[in-house]
Amino acid sequence: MIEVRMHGRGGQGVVASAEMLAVSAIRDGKYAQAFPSFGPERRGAPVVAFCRVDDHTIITREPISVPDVVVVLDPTVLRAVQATAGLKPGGKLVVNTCLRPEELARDLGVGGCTVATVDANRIALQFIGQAITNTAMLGALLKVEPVASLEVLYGLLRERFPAVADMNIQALQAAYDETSVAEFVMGDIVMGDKRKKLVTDLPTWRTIDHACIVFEPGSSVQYYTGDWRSMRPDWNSEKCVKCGKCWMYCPEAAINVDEHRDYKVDYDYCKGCGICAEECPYGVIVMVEECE
Amino acid sequence: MDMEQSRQKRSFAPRALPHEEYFAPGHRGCQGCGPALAFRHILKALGPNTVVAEATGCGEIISSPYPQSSWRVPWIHTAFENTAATAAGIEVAYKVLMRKGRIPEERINVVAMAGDGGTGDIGLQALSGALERGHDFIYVCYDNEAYMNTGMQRSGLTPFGAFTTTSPAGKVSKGQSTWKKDVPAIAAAHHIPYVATACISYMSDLYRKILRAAEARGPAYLHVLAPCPTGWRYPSEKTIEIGRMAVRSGVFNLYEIVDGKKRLTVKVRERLPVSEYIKAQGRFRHLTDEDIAYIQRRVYEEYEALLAEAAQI
Ligand SMILES: Cc1ncc(C[n+]2csc(CCOP(=O)(O)OP(=O)(O)O)c2C)c(N)n1
Ligand code: SF4
Ligand code: SF4
Ligand code: SF4
Ligand SMILES: [Mg+2]
Repeated sequence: MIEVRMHGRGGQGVVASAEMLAVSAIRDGKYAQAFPSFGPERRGAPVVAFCRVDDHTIITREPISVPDVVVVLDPTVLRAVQATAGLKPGGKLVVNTCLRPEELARDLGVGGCTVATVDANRIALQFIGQAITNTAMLGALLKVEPVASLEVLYGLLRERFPAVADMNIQALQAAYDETSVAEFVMGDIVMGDKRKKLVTDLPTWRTIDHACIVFEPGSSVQYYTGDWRSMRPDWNSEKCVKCGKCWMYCPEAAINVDEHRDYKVDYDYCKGCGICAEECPYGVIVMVEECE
Repeated sequence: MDMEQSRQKRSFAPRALPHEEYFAPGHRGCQGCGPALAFRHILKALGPNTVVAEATGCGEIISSPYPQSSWRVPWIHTAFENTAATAAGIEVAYKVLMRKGRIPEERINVVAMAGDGGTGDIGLQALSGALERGHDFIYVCYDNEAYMNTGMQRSGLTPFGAFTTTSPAGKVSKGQSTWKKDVPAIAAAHHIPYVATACISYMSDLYRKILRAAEARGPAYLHVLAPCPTGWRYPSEKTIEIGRMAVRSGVFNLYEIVDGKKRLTVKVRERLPVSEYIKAQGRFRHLTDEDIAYIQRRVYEEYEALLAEAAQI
């Protein structure tokens, strides 16, 4: 059995690509399943989807905690979740990034697995005109782990999305051709930043408390919504008159006041909605692109 | 500038609001979520001696992903249909415990919270029953004008003309076909001590009303308009501005009813054309000039009637 876990952000087609992979595998005569990990998170939040493919009936319905392959559709989620958590020794990590496999492996400090990289953003922009990377990343995945055949997947794309199938197929093929693969024999697969919990780390029905009581008030602070941000509010403190409007209107309570009555953003929680910049009467705050 | 706004400017200082946060960061609401901002300030105004019962809906889902919670006051999840009944039970339990001397006598704010769907459609009978029985509690309806948690289905409080997945815009349907259900009027029909409408864009008005609701002996009903960028289809930074436009155009009026007497708390001097409010949101994109003129006429009539009613009392 091959178990694939896919990481991306809400709205990027992560769930759809896991499902297309499974359907293609089934049309190839295999057994397959695909499902997302449902959470309450909204637009921009990291999401996970799973796909299993086997030659025999698949009984388990559990989320994949020990994957053979991890696919990362959006390089920024690497900062947000432990994408490599549980990856099997000798497993495969497939990432959308402009880095070479060696560079990425060095950056993440991973070893003991295969690393494949492709600049899917550029490919998607070139062929689709938008940074929608899910089809390109399917190409990269199939290069390192041929769980389904390209022809069947192309047929499925043509059937489901006749209007945009051609450009998606071109993107998929280009990613398949351009993906660089390198094997790192030495070292361990590291877990990455531990502050985020994967669904698979959460308590199970055997371990939860009766009535699902939460004993720690405000424990959502353990979850850093700053990872959802694509724009960042920047302060020009000199112009600030300390009126407090930005603080009052922030839906995240992500603006704090320090002992000098200076207003400061807590970037661990700021989602980048832009309300503070919009409502500041003195133009103190500007929204800037969150660069990697 | 509105009269109330200029008065607010003089006496209201955002930085003087309580600094304690009882609605913690890390909640999973969309960027620019109006309801999340409403919860944050309702709790600030009420303080720590507060218990909340909340129905399913965005508010509950974004704030209680097990095993975490954004609430720093006791909070209980309740089913869609019975938020007011749950709060009523809490209120009575405290009363009995105090009478028996098991807990000290003190003022505890018992709050029921639900969305527009959970209030005006599905939880209406429980709400009516609790108002009728006269429980000492505050019912807060945070109104984002549709069933947003399940992906934007119409409720009785979705405004006329708005597109939702169950009031689609196309050849046959022009979006929502009914006028917004007047739930504050339904609450007022129970002759309770305090009913008010509020909006997150008028913060001093909102604070004053929460405090009055808390002071009221008996049921208080607070209806808070809380714009939703995802469902209303506008950019996330416009949440406050959209709420302001709703009030300034007369689409959503801010008033209170104290012991049956109605009073406009924000009087709008120069009314904004309804079209400006409507054109700022994707959910109304399909409306024609004729549709907008109809809405404008009806909004105008309603506002005039409200002014007349408020003046009479
Ligand atoms: C009896 C029942 N019906 C349907 C649902 C599914 N459901 C959960 S939240 C929700 C929408 C809630 O809408 P609203 O009360 O307006 O709150 P919002 O999500 O808009 O904040 C629905 C339909 C449910 N949980 N229980
Ligand atoms: S951008 Fe939004 S979330 Fe971030 S600090 Fe400003 S108001 Fe808060
Ligand atoms: S709204 Fe602007 S002027 Fe006021 S405190 Fe915030 S940054 Fe300073
Ligand atoms: S859908 Fe609307 S109400 Fe729900 S979390 Fe998103 S912005 Fe808030
Ligand atoms: Mg709603």
